[in-house]
Amino acid sequence: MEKLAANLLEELNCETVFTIPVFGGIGVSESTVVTWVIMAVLTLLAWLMTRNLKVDHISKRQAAIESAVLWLNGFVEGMIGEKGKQYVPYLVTVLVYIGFSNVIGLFGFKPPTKDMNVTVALALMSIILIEASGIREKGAKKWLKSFAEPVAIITPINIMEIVIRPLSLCMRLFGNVLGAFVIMELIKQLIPIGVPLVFSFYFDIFDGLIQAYVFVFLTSLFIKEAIE
Amino acid sequence: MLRLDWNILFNIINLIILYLLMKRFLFKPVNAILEKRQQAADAQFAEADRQKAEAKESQEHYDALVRGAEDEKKRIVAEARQEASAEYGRIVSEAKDKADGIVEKAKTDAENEKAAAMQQADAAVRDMVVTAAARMVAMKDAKESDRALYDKFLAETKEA
Amino acid sequence: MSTLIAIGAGIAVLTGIGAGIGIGIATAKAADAVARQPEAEGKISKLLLLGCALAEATAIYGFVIALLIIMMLK
Repeated sequence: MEKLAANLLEELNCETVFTIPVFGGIGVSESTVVTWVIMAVLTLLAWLMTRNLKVDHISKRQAAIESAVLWLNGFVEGMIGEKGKQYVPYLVTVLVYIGFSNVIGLFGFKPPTKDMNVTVALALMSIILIEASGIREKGAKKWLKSFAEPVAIITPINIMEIVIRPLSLCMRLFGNVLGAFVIMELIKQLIPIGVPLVFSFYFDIFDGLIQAYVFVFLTSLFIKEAIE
Repeated sequence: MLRLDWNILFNIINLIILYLLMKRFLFKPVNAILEKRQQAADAQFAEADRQKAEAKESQEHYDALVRGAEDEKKRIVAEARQEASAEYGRIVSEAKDKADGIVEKAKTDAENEKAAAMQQADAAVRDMVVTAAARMVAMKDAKESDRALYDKFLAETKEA
Repeated sequence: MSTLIAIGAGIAVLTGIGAGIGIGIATAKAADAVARQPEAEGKISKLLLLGCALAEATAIYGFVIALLIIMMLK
């Protein structure tokens, strides 16, 4: 039992891969490095898939990437509405990134979304985007006024929302991935053969993609609310 | 797992870089190709429209030609018919004139002949009268002979 | 001490009750809706999935808190 707990803790811990020797050493954690890997893979994939695109007589590769991009764009646009079209590429990027990092556990990496640093970063970006879109759409004055809507008395609640929204976004993603990871580790430690495969379909693939969807859905919902 | 440090910053930077990379390597080329295809499709549609209009125009032109030819034909036929009917009328009237002339001539001929015959008869009657008168003068006294003479005269006139 | 930690973690995980009830109600209503309007099944199942993911979040919060208690107080 002690061994199991120690193993679990070991797996849960995000190690520092290397340290940048400035300001007394900044530890670059595993999640950041895995993110780099994901970035490299995604960029390479995008580059490979979009090489010499043609207008007609398209190859299967081009048809695949085109339909994928169109589907993702339509998917996010359906959530955010016609008005927020300019935010679609960012949201698609986030969707692909979270989906990819949740699933990457299958390839033996530790999912970066299991590290709270990553989810906090994502949530910060989301709240910045939400508020910035509101300011851009309404102008600073109207944006400030919108905190006192529909009645002035709920202004503190509206202000608290600035903190609560990203917190809930980040904790939801982090908790889900961490929970899935812990359960998978427990199953792996108890029965190492066969059974983890079945569960990994649910916890790694299904849950991971659902959480990516939920994250992007909520962000786009908030943006939609801010720009209306 | 639960520590928050500089890695937040790293991850934000990562995210922004990933966004820019995706925009450059995924969305830009795909959107460009979609745009291009849209343009090509639009151009093709415009071309098709143009061709359709052209075909319609040539069809109309052809129709007009056909209609013109039809009209021309009708006109020619009508003209020919008119001409023919004029000729026919002319011929018929000519023939009629000729026939009339013949009939007229025949009539005058007959009349002349009749007149001639009449004259002849007149002359004969006159002769006869003269003869009769001469005879009457010769046999004035006999009433019977008168009567006989009269009868004879009548018979002779009847014969004439 | 470790007993108290275990009890605390156990209480934190009780948030799962709420998520369970919530997801149960959501699923029941979704089944109802599909039975009433089978042609809207796609939309309903999408909404159900989303709702479940959101309702699940409370359970996840409890789980995270439990983990925090175990790890921080050890």
